[in-house]
Amino acid sequence: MSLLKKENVQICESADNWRDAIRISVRPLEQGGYVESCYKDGIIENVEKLGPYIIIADHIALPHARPEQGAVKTQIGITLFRQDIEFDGKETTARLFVTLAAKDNNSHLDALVQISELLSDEDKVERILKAPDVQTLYHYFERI
Amino acid sequence: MIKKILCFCGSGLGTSFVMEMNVKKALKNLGIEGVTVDHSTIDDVLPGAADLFVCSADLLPNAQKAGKAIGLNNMVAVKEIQEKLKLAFEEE
Repeated sequence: MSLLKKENVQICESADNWRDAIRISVRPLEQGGYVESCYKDGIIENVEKLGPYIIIADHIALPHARPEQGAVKTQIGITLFRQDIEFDGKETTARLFVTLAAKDNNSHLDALVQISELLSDEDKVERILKAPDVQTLYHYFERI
Repeated sequence: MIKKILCFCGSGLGTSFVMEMNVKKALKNLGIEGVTVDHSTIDDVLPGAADLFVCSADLLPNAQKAGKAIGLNNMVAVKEIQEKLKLAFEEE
């Protein structure tokens, strides 16, 4: 079972700020009915309260919130911004947003194993960040 | 002795799990056995809940209130995790 669909992969030029970037990164999942409209607010609230712990590495954010904050079905969305997104109080910026909707504590773990594996390869990340189009970007994550 | 490691983030299912996975890899690379590694939310970060807490660098001050802790800048970089774990185990 694949947790990533091509319609949930997008490339965007930029965002006004990190909150806007999170809203944009959640949008395909919201449109597909995988999360409720409150989910993005849940993610933003968590980051406001605890800091940007969703930045898991240079250039990479993993926006996610709790199932009870509005995740309906487990699914992943990929958003690549052409410009760096800054987070308050953090030097590290993010361009690749791997947005996670998890309906429970377990259904997304296999996908996260593969994502972590993929993103621990710095050369691969460099190439992903340069993806010229959605098809290429999707291709990197296809097997998830 | 570090026998139990708890990785945590704000929601307990994304960042924390990525850390758990890579902490396990790092322990294996270091040849350290007999340590349980789990992931959870910040609400479970209480004194005595683990011998070592692992979190993102932003959350380190929260973790240090509960006990020995390390903060990570890159949660997919096994090398960074390995170096920090090595120090933590050597201090024991």
